[in-house]
Amino acid sequence: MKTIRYYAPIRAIVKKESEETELSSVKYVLDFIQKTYGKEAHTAAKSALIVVNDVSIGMYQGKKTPLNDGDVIGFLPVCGGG
Amino acid sequence: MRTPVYAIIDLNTRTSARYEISEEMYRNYIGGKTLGARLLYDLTPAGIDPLGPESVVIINTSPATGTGAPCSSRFNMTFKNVLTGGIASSNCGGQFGALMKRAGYDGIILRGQSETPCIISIVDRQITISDAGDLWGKDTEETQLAFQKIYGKLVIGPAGEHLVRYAAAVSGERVAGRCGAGAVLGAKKIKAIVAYGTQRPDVHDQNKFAKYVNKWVKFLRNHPMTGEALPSYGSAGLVSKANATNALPTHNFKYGHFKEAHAVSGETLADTRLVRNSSCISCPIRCERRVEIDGKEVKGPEYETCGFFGPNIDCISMDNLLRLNYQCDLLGMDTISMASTIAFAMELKENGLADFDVSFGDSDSLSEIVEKIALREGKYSDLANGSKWLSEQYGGKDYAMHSKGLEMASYEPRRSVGMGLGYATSNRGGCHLNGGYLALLESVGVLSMDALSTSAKPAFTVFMQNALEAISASGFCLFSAQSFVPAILFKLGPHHPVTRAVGKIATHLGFGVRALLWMMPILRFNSVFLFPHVEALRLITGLPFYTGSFVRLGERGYNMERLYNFREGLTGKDDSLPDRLTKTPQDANNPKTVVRLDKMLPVYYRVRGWDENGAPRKRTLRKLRIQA
Repeated sequence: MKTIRYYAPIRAIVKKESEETELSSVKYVLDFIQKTYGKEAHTAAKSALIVVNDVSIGMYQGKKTPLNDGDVIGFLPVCGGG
Repeated sequence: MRTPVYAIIDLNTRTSARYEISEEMYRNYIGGKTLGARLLYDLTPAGIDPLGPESVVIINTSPATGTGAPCSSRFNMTFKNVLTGGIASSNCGGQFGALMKRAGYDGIILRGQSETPCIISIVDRQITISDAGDLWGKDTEETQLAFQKIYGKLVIGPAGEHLVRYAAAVSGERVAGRCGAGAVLGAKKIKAIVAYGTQRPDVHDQNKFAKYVNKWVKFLRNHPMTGEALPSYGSAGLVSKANATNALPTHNFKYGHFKEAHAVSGETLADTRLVRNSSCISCPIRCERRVEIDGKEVKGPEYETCGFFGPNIDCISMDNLLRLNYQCDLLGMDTISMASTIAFAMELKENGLADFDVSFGDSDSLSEIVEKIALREGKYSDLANGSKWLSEQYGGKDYAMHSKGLEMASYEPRRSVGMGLGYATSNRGGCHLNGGYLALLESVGVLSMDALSTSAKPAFTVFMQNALEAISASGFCLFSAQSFVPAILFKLGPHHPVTRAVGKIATHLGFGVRALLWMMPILRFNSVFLFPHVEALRLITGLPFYTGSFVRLGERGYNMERLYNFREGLTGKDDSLPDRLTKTPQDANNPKTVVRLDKMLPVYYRVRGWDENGAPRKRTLRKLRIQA
């Protein structure tokens, strides 16, 4: 089992903070979001900083990053500051 | 044209005199930190003690301060840096700057040393100095409550009184945190400066300015960074971003990733503690967090504080973090230098070199120790001197995480090597903002230049340092500059092929940026999409500011600061980082995860027009119209 965690702005669309899944890659999770919550959620998910176990998928295999049992995939807003 | 009017306040004699800035100096240096650097250079001899009677503290505003332009409540403090011995500029929001200007002064220059604790009051051009009485010893909140609400206040807490080298000055709930701003006021025995007045700030073309402000506010509100991300999570939202790219300092910068960072992230803060957003005056971004702790609503922590009282000391208690943040504000201390010094002390203990009763993973007892540091009690007084001083006394120089003496901010430069170059070259020491803040383009923003590549970093660092310097000098919060990354990239997201391609191209754009720097004099355009500040500055001052001349203003300020540092003995040799960052790869399997200063510095100096020792060349100073 893997966990999907949602943060603003996608959380406001899917109306939940997290959910469990058996999907095996980031790409499948994105497809699941589109199918389940619609295009707006999918767009928000794609534009988020996607992390697996708190590490950017850019440091793994991008959207092809596989998911293993116990993994947490998060959709974080891109932030700023300083 | 109205040129800035300052007051020179002599604490020895408790008298003041009007001091007008010449038109030439105004045109060249404008205000804030750049004008501050020029004045400090001119008004002080070399080699003075920053806490001695000869020291000078300049507190000044900028043309934009208090005009109602977005994010323009800023004021600046310039003084000799207590931690580095070089230049210090500390920037602050809140109301003090705007009200000092309304009181009739664009800046004040503090000289001498009062014999007894005092309060300076500036009301409609009238300056009075009175005894601080019982206020001496009070925290920053109690001190400010002693004055009527209408005043803009700038106060110090017990840390400033006890000359903690990283003591801060506090205005409302905003803090001039870095470099010992509170200590220099404490040394002069100034407990508080309050200001009130009714004079409206000068704006050259009020009608066009009002229209432009509307346009700019709209732009900021519609931009994903300044309209969504910063209001939703504040700067604390960066904890997860830095952690996601291994750029989050952990265990005194030994690592760049903390498994439990989520516990102290901006997202957790927003989900569990956020009461509401707030802001400085005239700020449409509203990044300030209002949080509740121990039944009281207080200002929430910024990213740096979350990082340093969290992962950098291996702690996950959000409660402790919020308490420590609030406590540091009350005592008047910079959270970055304070927490980084504590992390260093923890590692000293781990290595058996010194024991200050602090250990990684334990933030429960820190509140008590923080108080003892502020009051310089017993052995904890050593911690009040910062990590450079500590490393000279107890060893551990390789992992004392400062540059020139100022502790670095919460970006691990081995995963953001341009930020590493910025830390090393920053005139005020290990500062991300004075260092050009390349981390935003390398590791924590939507764009991702190759964070380990050194190729374009010197040119980008120079450009960003100059630009941020100019924005500060004009009186704007640097957060207002974060809209320069095109909104479309936020919509596409950091993993989109287009965004990644832009990042890759930028990684190899060194020559392009160098050409851009060379072309500055002919860049006679202003755009709300790039630096919206320039057009505002032009309309406020009536001076012919364009993008090129604006960035050149920043370059002039940067070189002026550099000249001051050289005069005080800080040279190219001090453009350095601890060995942990330059010699030990963050990832043992990836030798590129070190900061290659040896590769970047020579190029950086060339781009800057400095010699091989890092000194500005005569022709560079001539080009910038700087008289040494």
